[in-house]
Amino acid sequence: MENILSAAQQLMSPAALAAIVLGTVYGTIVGALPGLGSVIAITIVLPFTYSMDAIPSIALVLAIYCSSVYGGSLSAILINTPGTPQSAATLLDGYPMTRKGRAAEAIGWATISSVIGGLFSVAVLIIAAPQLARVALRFGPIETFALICMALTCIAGVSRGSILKGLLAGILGLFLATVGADPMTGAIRFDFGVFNLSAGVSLIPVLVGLFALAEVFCRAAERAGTPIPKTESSGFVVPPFREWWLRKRTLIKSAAIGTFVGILPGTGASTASFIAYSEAKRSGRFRDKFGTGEPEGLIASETSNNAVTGGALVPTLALGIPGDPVTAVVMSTLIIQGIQPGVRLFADNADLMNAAFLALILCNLMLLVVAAAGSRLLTRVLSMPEPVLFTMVVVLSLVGSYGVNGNMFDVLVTFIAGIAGVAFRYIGVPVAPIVIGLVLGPIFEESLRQSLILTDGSFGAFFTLSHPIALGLFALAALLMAFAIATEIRGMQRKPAPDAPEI
Amino acid sequence: MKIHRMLCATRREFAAATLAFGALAMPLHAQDAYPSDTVTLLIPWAAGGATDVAARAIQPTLAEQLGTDVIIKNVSGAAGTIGTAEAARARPDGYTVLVTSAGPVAVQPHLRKLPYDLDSFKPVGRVSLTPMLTMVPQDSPYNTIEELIAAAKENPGQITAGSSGAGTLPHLAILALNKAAGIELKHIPFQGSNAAIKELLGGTVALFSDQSQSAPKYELNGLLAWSGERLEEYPDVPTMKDLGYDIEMGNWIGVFVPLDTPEEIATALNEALNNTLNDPEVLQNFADLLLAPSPTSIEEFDAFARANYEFSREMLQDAGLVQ
Repeated sequence: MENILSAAQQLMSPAALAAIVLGTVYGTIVGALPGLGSVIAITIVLPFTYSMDAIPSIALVLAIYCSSVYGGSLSAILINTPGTPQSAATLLDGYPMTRKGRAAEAIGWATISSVIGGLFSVAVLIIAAPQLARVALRFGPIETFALICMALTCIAGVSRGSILKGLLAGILGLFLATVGADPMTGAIRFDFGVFNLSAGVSLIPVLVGLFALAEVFCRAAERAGTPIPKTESSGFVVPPFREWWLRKRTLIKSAAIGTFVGILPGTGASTASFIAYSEAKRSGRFRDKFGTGEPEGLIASETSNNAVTGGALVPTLALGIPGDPVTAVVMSTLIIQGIQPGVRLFADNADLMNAAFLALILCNLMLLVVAAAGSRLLTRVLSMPEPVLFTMVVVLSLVGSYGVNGNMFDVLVTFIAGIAGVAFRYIGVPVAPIVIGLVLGPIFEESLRQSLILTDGSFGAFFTLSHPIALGLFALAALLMAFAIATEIRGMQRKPAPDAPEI
Repeated sequence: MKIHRMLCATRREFAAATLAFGALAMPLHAQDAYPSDTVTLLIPWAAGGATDVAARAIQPTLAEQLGTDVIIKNVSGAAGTIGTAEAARARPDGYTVLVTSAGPVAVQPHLRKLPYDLDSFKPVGRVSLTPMLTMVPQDSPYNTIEELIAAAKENPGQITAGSSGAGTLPHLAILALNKAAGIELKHIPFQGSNAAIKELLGGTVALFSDQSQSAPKYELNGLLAWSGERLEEYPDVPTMKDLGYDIEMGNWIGVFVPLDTPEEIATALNEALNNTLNDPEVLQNFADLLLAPSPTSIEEFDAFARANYEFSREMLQDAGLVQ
């Protein structure tokens, strides 16, 4: 109790509070801009933190981290463009809600889900970081490969319409992920003599092209199409408690999935949100309405991707091993402030850590305030004339895809992905599986090949009792796949009545 | 009225976008005495990586020393070669300055066909040189490098060694140790040092060679130092030279400009860089980041980079990886 009070006292300085408020606002904006993600948001302020005191700079970086993950959902909901790859699953139900004129409500669901996911993961971080970090260490290449196999079964979950087309799209995504340097030997693959292709196909340009540009192209093509119903600029609608209660299982499950995936280094928030989304689609109360603007889909994606924030800090703080570029930047800020993450962190820096935990809680709560204050302005974007809105989306998309690597080639990739996205819509191929393939492809290949080096090329050695965690995950993956196929077959048998509820 | 307010919102959004992109913008150059305009440090790695963090630690002081604005531009991809290629193509006017680790300039040119080589650059100076150490976990069965080498001779291809990727220094260290001691370690590349250290702590790999400061940080034991002299912190750990092999390796970050840049500009940059590396605040930041500042003259750095380039070619050639 005394510790908490002293931590609170340290945080109650004007500088620290200002850092939380400004960090949250700034992080939300940068997160919402397509292409600019958490890493860029934090690195831009990094030089400032060198001259700041420890607590304000830690609070600033944590606030930016949490809010930038959340910010990506706003553009996903409003303009069908995930601001960050973490929010790719958010648009599957977020944008359909906007098209029905329920944007303010969608922002309400997304915001509160994000806050709940964030707070849940912070609680886990505070209570069990050192213990969970040891679990993360037991996740070697074989375990990671098993987890990614399980995650790949999500493709079936997000393939609306035809599961076959969905699987093909997923394979296309996996194939795109193999372009560029071989992760094991460094040899360049599929570059066709184009030097820029040796860097591979970047995720964000493809994401922005497939969703944002394709949407603009399609809307421009169907001039007489249905306009988006006007959203009242009421900003932020808090969904009633009863509605939440109906979806509580998805909420809890997604928070747990997000935190768990976050703890494993190298997997990331995009993986978590797709796993949570497809799990909700499998078991959620409103699973039949997924993809048509069902809040449960939003809950799954947003709860889990924000739950990753606290989870990802577990190995970062307790082991000193950041799992992704974002937490690596967070860690370098801590180091500059004289805090050495690692096994002794919680013993050596208890005071600072308590303040940091408290700051994390405040940052998550701050999201509510920022959303409430800012969403009125944001939803007004939708009342713009379509030509203005589309122009803005195109400009933001292109600037964003340039910003990822600072490379004009990525802008070209965005255009190509945009045109491909239009083609996919006309032939009824879902594009979400492509994104899943591209997100999971690199880590799928890497962990598989690392595992094969370990076992001297034997696949059989993956399925032995010396890797119990992997065995469990493989079994789960097989079950999920069997379930997806069974659902598909049942669906085919019932073709005559397409609206009949499943099971 | 409504339209007006709408436009305000748009403008605000654009202002935010512009703000966020300030750090990435390209400068326009004037023709006055150098430096009369913004200097761009081009980092061929993503924001937040080790090289980027080091560059950001010297950025404010370097700007003071040069008396101009210094901004950082990250052009990442393909093991740093995309950004390095861009730096090689840049106008040789000293306003685009490459800050990079060894990989893109001294190793990658041997591994793949690139539109540049080490010869495309004029060296400016070294930022840091961090000694390398071969490390094992505390519960490792090997207490000395001799024990490890003996075990590797008994079980060829069975002892696993991690690296932070193909063609990285930790990978070169494995190749050098294999060659020198006549052993065969099983190499498993991971994406970056953090991933490799995680697998070292988790027991997937038995050893990993990286910057020596990682050892106290992750409570690892040092077996072999790759520096010229024994490390102060590890007086009992032998160097490669102690074992009778004339090999020295270290993690370095250096500064380059395009080859045709005038000599006086390189000299001005070298001077500003070396003054920056003597600044107390920069030294403190480097100490926190576990980087050892290592200023050099242009000639010293030139010879150093070339020796590094030749060494990595030799190692990779023996391993059959040179394309």
